[in-house]
Amino acid sequence: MKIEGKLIQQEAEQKHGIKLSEQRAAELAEEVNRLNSATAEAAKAIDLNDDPTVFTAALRRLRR
Amino acid sequence: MKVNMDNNISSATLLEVSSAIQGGDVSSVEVTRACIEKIESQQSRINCFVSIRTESALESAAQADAEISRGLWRGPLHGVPLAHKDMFYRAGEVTGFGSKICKDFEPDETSDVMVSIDDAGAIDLGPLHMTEFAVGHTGVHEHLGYCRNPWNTDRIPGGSSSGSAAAVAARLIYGSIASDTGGSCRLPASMCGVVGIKPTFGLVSRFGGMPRAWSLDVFGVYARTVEDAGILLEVIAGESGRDPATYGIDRPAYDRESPVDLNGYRIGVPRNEGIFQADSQVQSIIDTAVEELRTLGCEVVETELPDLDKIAALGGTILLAEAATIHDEWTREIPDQYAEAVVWRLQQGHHIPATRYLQAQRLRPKITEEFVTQVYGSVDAILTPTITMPVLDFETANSFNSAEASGEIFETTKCTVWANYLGLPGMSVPCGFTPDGLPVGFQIVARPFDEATLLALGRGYQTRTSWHQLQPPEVDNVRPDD
Repeated sequence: MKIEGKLIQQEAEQKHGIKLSEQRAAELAEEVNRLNSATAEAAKAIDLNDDPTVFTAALRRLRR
Repeated sequence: MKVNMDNNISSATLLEVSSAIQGGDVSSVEVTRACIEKIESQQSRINCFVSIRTESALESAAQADAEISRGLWRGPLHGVPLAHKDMFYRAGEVTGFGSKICKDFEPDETSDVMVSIDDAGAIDLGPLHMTEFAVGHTGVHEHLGYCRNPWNTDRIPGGSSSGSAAAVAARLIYGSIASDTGGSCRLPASMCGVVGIKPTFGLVSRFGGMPRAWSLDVFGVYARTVEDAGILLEVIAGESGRDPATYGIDRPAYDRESPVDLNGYRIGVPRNEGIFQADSQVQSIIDTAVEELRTLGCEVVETELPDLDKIAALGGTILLAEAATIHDEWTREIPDQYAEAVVWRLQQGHHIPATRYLQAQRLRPKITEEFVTQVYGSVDAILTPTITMPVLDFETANSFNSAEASGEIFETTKCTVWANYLGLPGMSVPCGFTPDGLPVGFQIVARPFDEATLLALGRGYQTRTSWHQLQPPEVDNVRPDD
């Protein structure tokens, strides 16, 4: 699922009120696609009860 | 080393100058004045200070001298001149975040770290250069002029805590507080040849510091020796009612008295592949450092790490989304007030869907637990290069700083950003120089809240090596700001 520069350009203008050139939108798309696809792939390991708010508690539990 | 004003006081360590002040061999006013003179002589060369608080620093130093002479000694920072990244609030003092937008911002409150530093009696010589809103890892700066590497002013100091690392390396101050969201403390430490510690997420209160990305931000320390860095960390660490991430965290007391014995420590060294594949000059220096630690008694184990590319990408997702949120209004309404490359990076996060951001957050406890269990079950710390490439010159760094350079930006932070996602403590320690005279540092990363292991390994390493004692040249071409 790849986001094209055109969509980034439209999203920037319609959601955020930011005008982007075609070239800049294409550059943004490249980086956003890299991160979004890596996150989507990693998200396959998420369970129903994975709770983002327990991170600091996890760190405390993992101390020596 | 016995320190007095007849010696070159700027070559003393924090602990040495502290002992001299406590013992009455020098006064805090004398040391502070010496630092101010050196700053004034080096500022045009390095450009690491945003402003110098001469008057208030000398007043604080006189007060420290008076207290110490009455027998009221607050601890090892009492009367010692420091300076800090320009991102920590001081009520009524301009805190500019290295930006044009906030260049006149005067906060109403003082940050927890500055309260702790003040309570410890340290002298604050003024705010230090940083990249704009802590974006970028080079030191290239459109508004403040370039901060330069004291070892060679044609080279970058690294960022975002450029001035902090440069000022400590140039012996202008004895230590500094800075921040690390993806490598902003450790990278300049490596490039400037000083010690930089990024503590565990939640060890140090973030209250009153400029946010870069709330979930990843950690405030850390710079000093020339590991021992000094531990002193600074002790002072700023511990629970604050103003930062819930610190709840239940006691102020640590690190051992700096016992002889260092590294027998029994196990160090994991990842294979020289993937994100840790380093330039051959850098790798050779890292290999030598590993051998030094082996000689000191450490067991060195080749370690296979989980997928750090994935972890770095998850960290990047959080970083971009949170930074875009923090800067949402300004990037829409006054984008021309940012450097182009900065606003470009801040706008990226507008296009990370909330679902992706939350997925990266949901995975964080699980991935951290898996990582710690897998890796720290068999080793005490991981050792890697802090950065895989030699220190760049400004021309190359400028191309990295362009709007199109996301791949290159990843190159500079790939060894550090994963530790921010996992919340783990990391430290960069100077371990040599490339043939062109620029510093190289190794990074060690330990399990959560195990800064004591980092300090023990670093102290041990510095008992055997003298890289931290070398001083940059003080005179070379003075150039106007860029």
